[in-house]
Amino acid sequence: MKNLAKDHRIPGEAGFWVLIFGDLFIFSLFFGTFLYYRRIEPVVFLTSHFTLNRHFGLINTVLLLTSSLFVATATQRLRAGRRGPRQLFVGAMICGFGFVIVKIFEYGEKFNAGISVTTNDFFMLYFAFTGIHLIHVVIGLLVLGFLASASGKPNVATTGLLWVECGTIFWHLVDLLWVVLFSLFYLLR
Amino acid sequence: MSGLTGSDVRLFGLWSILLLITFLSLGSSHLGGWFTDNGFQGAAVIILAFIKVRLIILDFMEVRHAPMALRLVLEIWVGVLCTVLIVMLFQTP
Repeated sequence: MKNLAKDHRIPGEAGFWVLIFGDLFIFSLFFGTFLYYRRIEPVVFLTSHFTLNRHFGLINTVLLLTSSLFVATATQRLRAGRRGPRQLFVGAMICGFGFVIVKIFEYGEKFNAGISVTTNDFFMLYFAFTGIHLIHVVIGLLVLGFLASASGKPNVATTGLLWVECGTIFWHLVDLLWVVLFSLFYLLR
Repeated sequence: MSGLTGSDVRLFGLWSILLLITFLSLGSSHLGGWFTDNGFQGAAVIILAFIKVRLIILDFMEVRHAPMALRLVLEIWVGVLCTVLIVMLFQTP
């Protein structure tokens, strides 16, 4: 089958990219805001950074990257009319649920240690930005559920491909935003 | 289940590279002493993050083969944001 991805066409619906650019713009402001406050309170940010559990951040990064692999492979298989997209979308959902569970554990660990959104500016930004990202993950999981269900139907590779691509682009956006959040909150010293 | 094809292997290769960069970033953070200044450690972390972001955009989102205008806007976004964040990082006392 012809590889549609190499036809120099816009992946997904062109209008959907407006939503993607909107999200990229808002999160760009978030990233800049984090470094702005870090400049004002370097000691608070450094000491708070050391209280974060890097293992949680690393596990979540691996989970989202793996889910993106499953989603990208599922899209290509769907386009080529090959078997496996549904199982791959379900695999991506399992990784996404894993991300949510790890995040709940992580938030729980912080609350148990008496750390909350009001502790200081670092944790205000941490809970706000990772919380907004978590909402994206939950929306993405609903989208993946829809894709897993739709990928089992006949003709989806022809009539519904653009919508499948929109869903997968959104999931990759969720992955991409986490990559930067992980670096800023967990790795910057 | 059908067997693996070239595109499956290529995507797996990309995923392996993304994981490798993730562990490199983690290593650069753990081995902060290698850097004479925390700013350089931070710059390394941010650059590695945006290399990953660019790969996700180009190959997972399939923008590598999209019309040049879309690719250009996203490439500029990656370059500008990465630069702005590094400049802000070096302004931290």
